[in-house]
Amino acid sequence: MGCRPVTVIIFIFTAILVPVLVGECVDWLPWVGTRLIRNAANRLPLAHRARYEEEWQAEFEVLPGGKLTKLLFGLRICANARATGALLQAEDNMDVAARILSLAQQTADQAIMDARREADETLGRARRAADEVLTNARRQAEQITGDAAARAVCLERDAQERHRQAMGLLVQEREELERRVHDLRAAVD
Amino acid sequence: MVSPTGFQMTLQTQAVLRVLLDHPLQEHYGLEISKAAGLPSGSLYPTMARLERAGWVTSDWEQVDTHEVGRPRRRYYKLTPDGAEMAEQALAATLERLSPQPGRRGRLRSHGLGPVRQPGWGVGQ
Repeated sequence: MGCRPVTVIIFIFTAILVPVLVGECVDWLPWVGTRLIRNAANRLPLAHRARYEEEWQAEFEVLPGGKLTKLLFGLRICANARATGALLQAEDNMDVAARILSLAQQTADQAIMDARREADETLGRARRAADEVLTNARRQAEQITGDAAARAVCLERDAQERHRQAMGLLVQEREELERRVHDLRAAVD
Repeated sequence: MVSPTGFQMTLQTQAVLRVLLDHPLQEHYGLEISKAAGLPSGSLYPTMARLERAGWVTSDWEQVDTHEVGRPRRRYYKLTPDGAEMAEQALAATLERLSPQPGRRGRLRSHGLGPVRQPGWGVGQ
């Protein structure tokens, strides 16, 4: 009983080639798992890629089970990479927002400090100007008071002189009148 | 169900928190947590990222000589003191929501749902 060529080909394919091909594919599974992990890490925000790739590769290396388990691990990592990436991105965004808020707070604090310093300087200048005006006013007031006092002394002296002159004139007139009275009495006698 | 920090207290998150609370002072790596929580390996990391983001968990690299141990260094996760407290409260609140009527808690326990311990237990062991 002779074998037909098709039967021989099928036998060779199923008995030799398929196991070889399957074995070859299975040997490639860890490599595929590694590539999946790298691919998953690349979906994360840049700042987190190295950390998670190293962490996942470390666990991948010591994963119990066979090569199919490693492939499944890679597939699960890949499937969850989007969610992990979204969480990390949200965290990064919050960090950026916090940094911006902190920067804004620092800017506001600096602006408040600048405004306070400027206000203090303006107030200081205003106080110095007010002190200067007050000093000038006091000096002028003292000068006016001094001038007025001197003027009063002069006026008083002048009045005293006039009083003295008037009194001298009155004495002369009185002596003149007394002399005339004396002359008239003498004439009557 | 939403935790006090705003993230969803999913069954996966609850399972992870229970594992971490079993040994709150101990550091755990991802595979260890996955195995103890009964989660498929590789599906843990969004949960851990969420917990880290909330400040319940911190992580750090293992301090080993990789040539000496013959494997890459691991990333270890650990509950923070505040995280342990918040996790206890969140799990207790979740259990409370799941068992509003007296007697229901026992049925949930028999099905393996809900932590048995009360807030504060397990911390400082």
